[in-house]
Amino acid sequence: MLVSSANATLTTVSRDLNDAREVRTAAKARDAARARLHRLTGAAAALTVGLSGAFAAFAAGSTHTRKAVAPTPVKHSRRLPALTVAPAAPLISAQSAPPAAPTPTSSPAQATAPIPSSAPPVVSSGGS
Amino acid sequence: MRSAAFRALGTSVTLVTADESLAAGRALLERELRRLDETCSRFRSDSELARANARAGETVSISPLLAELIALGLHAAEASGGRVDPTLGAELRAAGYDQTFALVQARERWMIAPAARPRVHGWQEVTLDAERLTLRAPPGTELDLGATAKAWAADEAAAAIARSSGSGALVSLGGDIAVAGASPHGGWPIRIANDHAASPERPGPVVAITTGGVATSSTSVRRWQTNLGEAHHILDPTTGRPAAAVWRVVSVAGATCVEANIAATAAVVLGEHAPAWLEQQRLPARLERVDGATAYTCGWPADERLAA
Repeated sequence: MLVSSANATLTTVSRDLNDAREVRTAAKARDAARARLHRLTGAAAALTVGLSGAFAAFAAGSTHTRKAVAPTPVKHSRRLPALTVAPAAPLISAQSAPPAAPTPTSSPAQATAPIPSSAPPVVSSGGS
Repeated sequence: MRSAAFRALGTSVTLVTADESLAAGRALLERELRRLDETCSRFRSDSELARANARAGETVSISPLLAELIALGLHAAEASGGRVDPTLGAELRAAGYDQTFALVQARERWMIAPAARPRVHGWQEVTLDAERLTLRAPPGTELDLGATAKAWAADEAAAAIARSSGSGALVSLGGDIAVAGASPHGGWPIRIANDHAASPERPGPVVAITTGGVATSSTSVRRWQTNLGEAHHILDPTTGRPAAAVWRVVSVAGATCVEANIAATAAVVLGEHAPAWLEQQRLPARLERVDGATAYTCGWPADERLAA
């Protein structure tokens, strides 16, 4: 009698578990279908926006004969001065007697004139 | 003051410090000069510059130091209106200055070959990409950075020694002088001479500087015999031959030794136009003609005033 009652209880529990599993499976299938629909809606919206932009650009381009293109700035690292290229100026003429307006050599700090000294010199500045 | 003298880069080197930092300063200076020699010596076949010169006409990769020195050489050319040109290496070699000066002097006579064609390349055609560290010089061009590199080394070494010691330092490389840090009372006394190797005790005008540098160019020290007569090492870029010797010796004071060096060399090449150009640049200078007469610019004290 006890065995029979226990079997009945187990059968009921097993049925309940099966029911619950089916419910979870159905819920999962529903959620997956929703996600697919959401993705499809998003893709369709993006496609619509992209196509609208493309057609708008095409239409705008067709009404102008010239288009301005902004140059892309190029970034250089700052380790050393960027690209020192000697300008392609002509060589100095062998006939050029007077100095032709050379660029100032003075650096930002101004050169200071030496002062007379009566102290014993520590070194000589001369040709080498 | 403490001082040490030794030889490097084929010339004499003097370091003067205002305190006890001489030994450390000398070690730093020797290290820097070795690095400079390995990088840009024209007389070492294994220097980086010699290797780059051998590949003129190609785009070659170079070190940051060589890029900096070449940029400085090109700056010298631009600042001097082309009178100081770093592309005269081949012309110097043709004129007979093809090895260290001691060997050039020991030679009996150099035969200058007649120029096959006029000089066609110059500093304007050197392409230096200081960011990518590449160099392209026209085929056949030999860069010679000797003068500006030496002055640059004097500036750099003096500043580094003064920084590390917290005191004053004077560095002289073949008579190109840079000072940095606190100067002694009355400034650093320097004798102006025809030859930098002459003893400072010999008679001659003595001036003092407290900042920057002094450089002297002379047409009477590095001279040698050729089949076309005596030659010297300062070439006129327009001809590729030694500049006409209007001035025997030109000394310039600059905010840096590099500035003084560029101006002194340019002044020799400019000849009679040099005083006006130096005035225009606001650079104090002393110019001594081959006959001994002197001219001054921008407040350089006259010799008579120094003797008084």
